[in-house]
Amino acid sequence: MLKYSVKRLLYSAIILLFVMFIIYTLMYVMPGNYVQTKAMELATKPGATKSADEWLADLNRQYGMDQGIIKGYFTWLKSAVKLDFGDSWKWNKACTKVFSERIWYSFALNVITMFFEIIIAIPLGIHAARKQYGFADYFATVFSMVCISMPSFFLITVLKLVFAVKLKWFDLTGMIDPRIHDSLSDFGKFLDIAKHYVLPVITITIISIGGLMRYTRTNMLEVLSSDYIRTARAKGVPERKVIYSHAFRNTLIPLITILGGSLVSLFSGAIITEQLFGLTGIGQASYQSMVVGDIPFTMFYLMFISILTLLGNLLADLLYAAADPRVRLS
Amino acid sequence: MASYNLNEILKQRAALQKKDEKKEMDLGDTARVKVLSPMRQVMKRFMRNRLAIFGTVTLAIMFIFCFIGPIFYSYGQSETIYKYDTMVSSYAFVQQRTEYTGYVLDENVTANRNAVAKTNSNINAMAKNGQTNLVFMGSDNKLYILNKEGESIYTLAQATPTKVAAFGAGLVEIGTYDGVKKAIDYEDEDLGDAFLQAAKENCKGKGGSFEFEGRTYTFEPGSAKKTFVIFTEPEENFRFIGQNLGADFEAAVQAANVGESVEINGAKYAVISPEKDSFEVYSLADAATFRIYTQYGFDTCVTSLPLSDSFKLGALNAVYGEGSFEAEAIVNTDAFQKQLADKARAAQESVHEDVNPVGEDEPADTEPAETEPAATGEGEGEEIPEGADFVNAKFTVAPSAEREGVFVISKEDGTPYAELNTLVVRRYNGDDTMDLDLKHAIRDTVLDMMATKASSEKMEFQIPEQDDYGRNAYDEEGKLKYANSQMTVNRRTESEYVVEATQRRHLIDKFAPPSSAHVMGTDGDGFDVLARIMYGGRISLMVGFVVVFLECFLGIIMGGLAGFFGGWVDNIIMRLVDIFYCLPFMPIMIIVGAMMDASRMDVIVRLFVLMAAMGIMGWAGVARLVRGQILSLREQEFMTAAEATGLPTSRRIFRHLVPNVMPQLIVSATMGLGSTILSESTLSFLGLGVKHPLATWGSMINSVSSAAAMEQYAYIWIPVGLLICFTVIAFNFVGDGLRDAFDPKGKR
Repeated sequence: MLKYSVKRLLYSAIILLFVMFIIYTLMYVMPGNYVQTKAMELATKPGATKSADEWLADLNRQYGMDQGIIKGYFTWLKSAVKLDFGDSWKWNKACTKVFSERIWYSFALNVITMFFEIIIAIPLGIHAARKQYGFADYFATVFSMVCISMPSFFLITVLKLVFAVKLKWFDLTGMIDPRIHDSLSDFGKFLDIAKHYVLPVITITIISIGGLMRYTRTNMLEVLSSDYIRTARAKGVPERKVIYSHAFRNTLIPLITILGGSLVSLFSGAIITEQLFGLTGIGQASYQSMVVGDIPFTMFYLMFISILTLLGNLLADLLYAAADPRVRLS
Repeated sequence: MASYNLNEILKQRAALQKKDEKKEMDLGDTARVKVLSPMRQVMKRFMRNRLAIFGTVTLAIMFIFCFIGPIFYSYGQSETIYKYDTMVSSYAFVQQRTEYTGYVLDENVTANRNAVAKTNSNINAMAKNGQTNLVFMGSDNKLYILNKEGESIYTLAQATPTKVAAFGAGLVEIGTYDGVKKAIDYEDEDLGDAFLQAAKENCKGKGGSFEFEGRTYTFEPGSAKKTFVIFTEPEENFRFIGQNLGADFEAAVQAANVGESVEINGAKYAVISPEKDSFEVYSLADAATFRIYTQYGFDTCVTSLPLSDSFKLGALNAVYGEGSFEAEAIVNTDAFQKQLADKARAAQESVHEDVNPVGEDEPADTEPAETEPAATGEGEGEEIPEGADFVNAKFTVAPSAEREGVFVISKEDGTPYAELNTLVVRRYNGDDTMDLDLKHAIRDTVLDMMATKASSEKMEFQIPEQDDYGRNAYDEEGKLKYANSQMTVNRRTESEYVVEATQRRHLIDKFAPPSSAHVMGTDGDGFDVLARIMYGGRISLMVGFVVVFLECFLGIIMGGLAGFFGGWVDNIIMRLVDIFYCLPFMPIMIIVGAMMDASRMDVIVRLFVLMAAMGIMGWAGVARLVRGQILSLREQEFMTAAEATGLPTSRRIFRHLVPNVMPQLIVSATMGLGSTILSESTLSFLGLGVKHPLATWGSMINSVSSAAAMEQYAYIWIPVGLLICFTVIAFNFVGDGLRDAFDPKGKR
C-alpha cells in the first residue's frame, strides 16, 4: 500500500510537470503586446505599487517569459518549487496571500453543498433502484437528468429572478449586506454571510445532485441483482434489512470511492457560481484573474487545480482498495 | 348458383389441419422464435424507452426549428429591425447673429492675425461709441481701417503707414540706438555723427537721459538686447514730416477724433495716438479693403443651392454700394434641382446594392446625431453637384419689400435668387437644407416671439418627409415629398431659438415587445429574437457536432493505436491521456476565450478556434473508452481469426475493432453533445465564446445582467434558457436510451 502510494505520487508529480508545461505554453503564447499593455494598465492603476517595467521584470524573473519556452518553464518551476508564485496582477498582492484569504469561503461553500448533495442524492438513488421502472424511478431519472443538463448560469439567473428580484428574500450578488454588515454582532455577521450562501448552495446542489443520484441508483441496481441478495430474500430476511444492511453496505463501496475522490475538490472553488453570485471565493478570484490575463495568479490557480485533480484520483484509488478487500493495488 | 368444389373443401381442411398442428408445436421449435437482426433488436428496445423517445422527438423538433426554421423565417440573425415613429427632435436652430463673419476679399493681403481676430470686439466697440470707422495700428506696423458700410456690414482695410505729421506735448521717439552695431535707427531725420557719439557714450544701463546740443534726450532699454529707444521733447507742438500741408490741415487734424479717419482736402488721413499726449497723422491714401464682415447669412431661394465666394462678396459689397454686381453663380436652378434629386436617388439605390447584394432591405444606420448645432456659417464644404455650372451673371440687391432688414438678391430678369438676413435659420446640425418658405415661417414666428418676449410658440408647417434611410424622400417626378409637422419654437437665449419638430422617423426597433410581426420581440440591437434563437440553435448544435466529431476522431485514432499495439505506444498515449485528463477544462477555455478577446479575432475565426480548442480538450475521454474496449476485444476469437487470415493491421483495427467499439462510442458521443452544448453556452454567456453578431443561446442570455433587465426581458432569456435545457436533456435521454438498448443487461 505504502509502496503503491509513493509510486503513484511520483507518477502524479511527473504528470503534473507535463500538465504545467502545457499551461505554461498557453501563457507563453499570449500575445506579447497584450502582456505589455496589461503591465502598463497595471502601473497606471490607482494604488499601483510598481511601474510597468518593474511588473514586466518581475514576470520575467519569475516566469521566464523573456527566455525560450523550455528554459522559461524551468525558471518558473524553480520558483514554484520554492512556493514563490509572485504577485498577482489583478489583486496586487502575493498569489498565496490571495489564496489564503479566499480559499475558506470556497471550502465552506463546497462542504455545505456536499452535505446536502449526499443527504438528498443517496436516499433518492436508493429509492429509485428499489422501485425500478416505477414512478419513483422515472421521477428520479428525469430529475437527475434535468439537474445534469441544467446550465448553471441559467439556473442562477432563474433563482435570482425568483428569489432576489421578485420575492426580494436575498441580495442579487455579494457576500454580505454592505448596509448593515458592520453594525452587526459576530453572530449576526455569520448569519448575514450564511444568508448570502443560500442561493449559491442551492445552485451547486441542484447541479451536482444528478450525477451522484444516478451513480447510487446504478450501483444499487447492480447489487440488488446479485446472488446474495436473492439468497437473503429467499431466506426470508425482511426487505428493509435486505436493502439497508445487505445491499446498501455494498453500494457504499463505489460511493465512498467517488466521494472520497471529490473530498479534495472541496477546495477547488466554483468558478461560475462564485462569479455570478459575487462570492469572494477562490473561484471568483481565478475567473477575474483569467479574464484580465493575470498570468501569475492564473498559473498558480491552474497548478492548484491540477494538483487537486491528481490527488483526488489517487485518493479514490486508495479508498477503493481500503473499502473493498477484494481489490489489490499493484 | 351453388357449386360444389372439392378442391375448395380440401384446401379448407388442410388449413384446419395446419392450425391444429401449430398448436402442437413444441417449445423448442425454432419456428416459434421471431428472429430480429441485432440492429432491429436495438431499435426495438430503444423504441420501448419512453424517455428516449421523448428525447428523440425533442431533438427532431429542435433540428427542424434551428435548421429548417430559418429558411421559412423572414428575418436574418443580424438583421436590424427598424420602425417608424413620430418623434419630436430638434429640427432647426435660429440665431440672431451677433458675431460678424469675415469674407476674404483680397487674398494677397497678408494681414496681422491679431488685427483680424480683434475685429468682432472692435465692431462692438464702434457700435457702442457710435463710430462709423476705426483706425488702429496693428502689431505688424500696418494701419488697419475698419469701416462701417451700413447696418451689419463692415469692411476691413489695410494701409501702409506714411506719417505726414505729428503733434502733441508728449515725448517723441527719435530712434533706436543699437549698442552692438553702434548705430541709430532714426524714426524721422538723421541727427548726425555727433549725436551718435553722444548716444554711444550715454546709452548704458537701465535708461536715463543725456544732454545734446541743449536738448534733453531720455532713453530706455528697447525690445532687443543692448538697444535703447531714445526720446525727446518735441521742438514744436505740430510738425509736418516731409511736406508741409498748411494750417488748414493742422486745424482739421487737431479737431479730428483719435483713431478715426478724417477726410481733408479730398484725401483720407487718420490720427493715431501711440503715446499719451502724442499724436501721429497718417495718410490712408493706399488703404485697400481686404475683408468684409457681416452678420448677414445667405438664404437661397432654391434649397441647398451652393453660392460661390465671388457671389457672396459681390452681394455684400453691393448692399450699400452700387446695388448690382456680377458674379459666378448657378443660374439654371431647375437643372440643379433635378441633379440634386437624381443624385439622392442614386445614393439610395447604391445603398441597396452595397449593403446587401441579396436584395434584402438592410438600411444604413439612420440615427441622426443629436449634437450641438454647428456654427451657422455659410455651409462651407458644401457638396456641389456635378455639372451644375457656375456662370457669370448679373444680380441686383435691394431691400426686401415685405420684410424689414432683409435684402433680396435678384437675377437680371427680376426673379429673386437669394436673401440676406441676420436672423439665420439652419438645420440643427448646421446644414443649410431648409426651404426658404419654411425659413420665412420660422423667422416670422421668432420675430413675433422677440416682440412678445414669449419663450415658446407653436407653429405648423410642411417639412420634407423622410424615407427608410433617414434621407429626404422623393416622389416619382423627382420632387420632394412633404408632410405636415407640428413645430414648437423654444427660446434658448436672447438670440438663439430652437425649433422642435415632430417628424416621422425611421428608427432601430430596440427591445420591442412580442408582436405579430416579431413573435418574440426584438433585442437591444434591434434584431428579431426568434430569428436569433433559430440561428443561435444552429450554431450551438453545430458547435456540438463539430467538437464531438473532433473528439471522436482524435480519440478513436489515439485510443485505437494504444489499445491495439499496447506496449510502449500504449504507455505513451495513455500518459498523454492522463495529462489531458488533468487539464482543467473550464479554466483553460476561459483563458483561451480571454486571449481571443485580446487579439480581437474575427468572429468566424474565433468560432473555429473555439471548436478546435474544445475538441482538443475533450479527446482524452474518448481515447480511454476506445482503448478499454479494444483491449478486451482484441483477445476474442474473431480477432485471432482476422489475424490468421492475414488482414493488414489498419484493416483489423478500423474494420474489425472500431465497429465493435461503436455502440459505446455512439452513447458517449451523444452524451458528449449535450455537455459540449452546455459548455459552449456557458462560455458564450460569459462573453468568452461565440461573439456578437453571431447568435448563440448562451450569449443571448448574456445580455441580461441587471435586475431590471432580468425582469423586463424575461420573455427573451427564459425561452432561450429552456431551449438549452431541453436540448441537453434530450441528448442525454437519447444517449441513455441508446446505452440501454445496446446493452440491456449491462451496467447502467
